[in-house]
Amino acid sequence: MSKSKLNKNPYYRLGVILVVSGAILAPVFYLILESVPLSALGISMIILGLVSSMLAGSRPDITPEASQMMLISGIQNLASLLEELGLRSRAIYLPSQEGEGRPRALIPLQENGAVPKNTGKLPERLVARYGPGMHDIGLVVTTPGSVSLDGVGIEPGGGYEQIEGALNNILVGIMDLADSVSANISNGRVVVNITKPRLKYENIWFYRCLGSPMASIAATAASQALSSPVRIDREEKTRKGLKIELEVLE
Amino acid sequence: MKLYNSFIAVLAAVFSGITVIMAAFGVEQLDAYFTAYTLALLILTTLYVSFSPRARRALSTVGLVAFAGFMVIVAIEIVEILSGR
Repeated sequence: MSKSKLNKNPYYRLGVILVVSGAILAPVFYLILESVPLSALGISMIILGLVSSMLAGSRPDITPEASQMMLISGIQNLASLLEELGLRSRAIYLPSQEGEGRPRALIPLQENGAVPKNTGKLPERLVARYGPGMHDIGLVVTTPGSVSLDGVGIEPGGGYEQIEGALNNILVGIMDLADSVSANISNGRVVVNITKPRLKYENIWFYRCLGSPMASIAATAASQALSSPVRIDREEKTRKGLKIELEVLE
Repeated sequence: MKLYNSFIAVLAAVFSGITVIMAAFGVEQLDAYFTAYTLALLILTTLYVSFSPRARRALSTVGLVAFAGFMVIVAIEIVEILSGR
């Protein structure tokens, strides 16, 4: 982060104020007032200031607000495309192929068609053939989750333990879309619980096809971590937030 | 950034709590306060699992500085014990 950007950062300003105040107050309290607890409070201000100014430098380059705006505009564009094509089938989230490129989602053109198995290497294009059959054609799109996985420590086939950490990083740490995320796996299904999500579920075309943005991110992370195709089975609102059930297809 | 705000607010509350409790027990050693603050910082950093790797690295630097201070205090204490003061 450049120096001018850093100077405008509220965390950096808070940090500098706390460090300077602490550095002035601690000796004053210790030498003049001879109060150890108050001097300790001055030291705690210095530590807090250091924490705040260090956090300023680690703030994402794009603010969470900008990330959310871009996420929503991306969704609306994709929703228009899906609506125009009249696609209704549920998307299958695929991991990045042979560790190259980004993970993508395949939306089969045929509704309720057979689940594509062993899709092989899909071409880098919007409309792609995924099987030998006449109707084995689908739309291959980059989802919000595909891009958000950049820079998050998730390896293809790294195991389900990586899902929770990656989702916490993206949804809580970077995008500020939820308070916390937990994930567990049982009987070939990944259950993701999101506490206090800040994006409301809408009954729009995109959500019916690719799931809500948060489910889409969860499915992408799960498919990448498990290195298997994943489909969003269902999403339901719970007392704490949102419960997403993902079906692992292989 | 709700996460950063919450971390700073919780850390400030914990530091204040430590100061009030230790002052109430009549602790008069500045190094004891510093040790408690360092431990609180390290524990809280570990508990906040949602931090990005970048933020975690930044906090580790502060933790390392605080830990270095803690080690200096320990070294001084050891020297004092060995010299019989």
